[in-house]
Amino acid sequence: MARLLSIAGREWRDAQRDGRAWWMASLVLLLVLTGLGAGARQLQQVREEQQAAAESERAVWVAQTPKSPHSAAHHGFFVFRAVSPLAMFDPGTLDYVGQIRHLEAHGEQLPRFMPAEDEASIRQLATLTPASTLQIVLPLLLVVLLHGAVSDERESGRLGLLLSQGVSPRLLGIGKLLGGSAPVWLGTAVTIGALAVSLAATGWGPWRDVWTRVCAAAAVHVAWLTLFACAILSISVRAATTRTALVASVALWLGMTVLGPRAAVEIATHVAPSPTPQAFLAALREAEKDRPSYWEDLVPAATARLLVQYGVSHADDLPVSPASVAQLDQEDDDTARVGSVFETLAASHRAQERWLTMLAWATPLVSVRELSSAIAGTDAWHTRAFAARAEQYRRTAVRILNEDSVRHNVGDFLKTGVRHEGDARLWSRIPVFEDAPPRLMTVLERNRAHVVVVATWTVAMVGVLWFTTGRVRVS
Amino acid sequence: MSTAIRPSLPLRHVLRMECRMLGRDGTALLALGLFAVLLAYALWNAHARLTADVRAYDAVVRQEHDTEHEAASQAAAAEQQLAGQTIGSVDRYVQHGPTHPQWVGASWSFRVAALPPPPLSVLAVGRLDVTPTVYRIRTNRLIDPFRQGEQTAHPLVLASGTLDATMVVLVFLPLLVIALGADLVAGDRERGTWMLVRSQPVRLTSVVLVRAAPRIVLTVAPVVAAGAGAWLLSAHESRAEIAPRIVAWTGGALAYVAFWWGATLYGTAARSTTARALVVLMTCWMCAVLIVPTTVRLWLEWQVPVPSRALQIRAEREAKADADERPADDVLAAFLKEEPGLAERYGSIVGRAARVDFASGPYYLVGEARDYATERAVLPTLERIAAAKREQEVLARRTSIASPTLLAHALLTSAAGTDDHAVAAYRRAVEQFHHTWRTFFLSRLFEVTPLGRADYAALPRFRYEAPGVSQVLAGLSWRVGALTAAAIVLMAAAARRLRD
Repeated sequence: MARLLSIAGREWRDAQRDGRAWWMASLVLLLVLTGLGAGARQLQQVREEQQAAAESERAVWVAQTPKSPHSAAHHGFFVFRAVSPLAMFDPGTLDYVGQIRHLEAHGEQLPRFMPAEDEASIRQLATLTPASTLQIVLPLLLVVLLHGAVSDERESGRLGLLLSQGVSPRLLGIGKLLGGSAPVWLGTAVTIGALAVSLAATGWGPWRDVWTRVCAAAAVHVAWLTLFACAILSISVRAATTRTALVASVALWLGMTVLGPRAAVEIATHVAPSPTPQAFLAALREAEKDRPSYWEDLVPAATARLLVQYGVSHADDLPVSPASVAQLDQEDDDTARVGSVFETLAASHRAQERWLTMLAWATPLVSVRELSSAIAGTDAWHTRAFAARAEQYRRTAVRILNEDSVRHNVGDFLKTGVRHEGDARLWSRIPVFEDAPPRLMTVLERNRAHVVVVATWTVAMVGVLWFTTGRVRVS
Repeated sequence: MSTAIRPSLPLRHVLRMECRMLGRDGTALLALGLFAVLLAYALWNAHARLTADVRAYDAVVRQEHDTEHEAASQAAAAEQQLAGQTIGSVDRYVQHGPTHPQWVGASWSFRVAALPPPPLSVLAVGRLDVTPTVYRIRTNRLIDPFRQGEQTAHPLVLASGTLDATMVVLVFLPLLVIALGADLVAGDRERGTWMLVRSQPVRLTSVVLVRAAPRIVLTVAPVVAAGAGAWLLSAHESRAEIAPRIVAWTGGALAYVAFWWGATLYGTAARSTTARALVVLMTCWMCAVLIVPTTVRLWLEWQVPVPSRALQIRAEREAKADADERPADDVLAAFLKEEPGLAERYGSIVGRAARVDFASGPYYLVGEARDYATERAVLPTLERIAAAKREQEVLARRTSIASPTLLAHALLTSAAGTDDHAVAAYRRAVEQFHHTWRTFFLSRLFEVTPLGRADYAALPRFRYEAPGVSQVLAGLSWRVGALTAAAIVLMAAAARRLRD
């Protein structure tokens, strides 16, 4: 143990003397802290604006003038997605999906207002977040710190001297790993600490298991940095010269952090493409063609059904309005038809995710990213879960409104000129939309495959380091 | 007669030797091959996207034409029957849809304002990946709620961005330059051959430049190939139009390559080993490509936070509720005050606005007045959002000087016609067309005059003219100049280091 600490201590001193490493580490740290600060401020702003908008939406809804309940269902409701407090650490896909949904009668709609639309054009380049800094930049720092850890010793002839003094090559490897990469671990700890402070300052709304999520995010990133550090050190152990070690390490970094994940996304997109917006709209229009006519199909069908149900022979004797009952039927029919088009879109997204999971075995950063954004509550699945919650709420609310028309039978407005109008009492019966994000365990359960990929890669890389250090060459 | 000293190290021999060594350098060839594959894939990828966009655009325009044609035929058929009448009753409204100004202008409007895919999006997708390119135009006041074609791509795909030639040049070309040039001088120093070179009676800068020449050619060739590829992939009819843009894009990319060659030559001249030169150059790459752009973005967001769209939704809903609750006479009086032309004809309705018949002319006038009141109330919020975005863009342009990659990004997307300016120009054209569409329908709507053949023939159509090339090129010259100047300074500094 004393020897291990001694080796690690010497590496730490070397790292301290390396001005480039500290300069780079300071830059990275500054970037992470600025990112967290800006993220926290933005989160606070979005949350306040959303809360004010949601309260105003409710007030407008309850205070709306008396009107037909179905007209009110067309006025609809705007609901807002509760932004995860961990979005300041890993915004994931949050900027690329609409955060606002308009819910109204006759089916689901796509979300509105993708935040990326309102961002400056440098968005395409300026993609670093605190999470991606840990995922992409810190590994490059590991390359700078560790590429020559063993190859330098070998080139200078010190390696033979060390081993001849009875130092175990594996102990040497572990010591160099711990001491040489200390700035990276320090940076990671500061990032997680700063995240915790920011979270404590901003609060977390309906997100309940935030601290567990922080721990899970930290574990995922520590695993990623460990596996990468082991890979770089293994290269340093095997490479003949420091130059070769550096070239191979940079190539590995480029492959694992830039090219690999990019290629995985490209492959998944091409193998399981999503419909274009135009194709999606065309599918909606196509579904519209099968829509039964309200007056010619649904109202007569509802009338015939109700005549049998109530045992009367004339529609005027019915206690409920067939036109209103037909509205319920139409809503069910529209919901199912539009829902099937949306389901096709969601299925294409799920297929792409399955491909990404498979490709993650070749490029583990895909899994790290997916896990990180899933834990932060900013991945595509959280978006779909929000959409499902909003859709459930829409169905409940529209049903309450349509059923109210059924209960108040005033006949056909176009024939009688009399319209049933809902009032504040009816509007208040619609429950307030409260977003309830899923728990972390559900998220991890769903991302089990990614957990397995990261764990397997970490164990494998530790194993590779163990193996290579056991067979270290002196010259 | 003076006799010139014949150099013992003729530069053409150096060049030949360098080419031979480069041909045997496995790492360089691998890097070059990888880059070539990446660039070819990016061109293919962007071309596939452009083809899909063109197909989608054609489909949208065709569908608009077909629907309009069908509606026009129905309107023409009903023309004689409705001659001299107004459409007032509910039955007629439903029955005579294509002849009803409200039906055609607002409820079921078939008119779309679609952005024709810019032909050079094959080089730079720019803002097009997150910008709506199809708007359904209706007479209603605000456009945003009526837009069509929201994104359907997987958000992760959008977050990853489109891999196009511009991104490959901006992100990966510097790495190719570093891979090919990092050992140019530092490698000789490391191997101890640098002193041998110095002992020759030739200028060191000439030797280094001659040695760098084939490597520079290898990094310039893909850029020129990408420009040529874009030329070949574009449709014949648009070639004359895009030629200056391709030249601008290629020139900008070459200036960017020159900058990175300047940096690499300086890095290799200033460091004693290839490994050190590599570390310094990789750090420079990381700063220029990743860290500085992100820092600039964070700074922009901090300086000018753009309000979230929740603010817009809130403003719209509150304004609409307010306009709906206000007495119809008040709303109408306020509207007619702003529209003196209409006041003369419809002023008599004020005082009985709440009792007008459903689907009659005054009914639509009151509806228009409510829309107007809503728009007036929402405009300050929309302007606040737009002003913040404009200010961010101005600051982004000013701060692009902080990184060569930011400078080149602005340059290349602008040359391709897919930058913020192009998107803003399209948006302005949509807003202008929206105004034309409304103006066309309003008088017909208030009179509820049935639309006939002549009206359909006179319907406004959206035509989009992209900003002229000369306008674009004028804004690019200073960026090319800045990159070239930086490259010259770095190369001069490298030459100085060689002499030291």
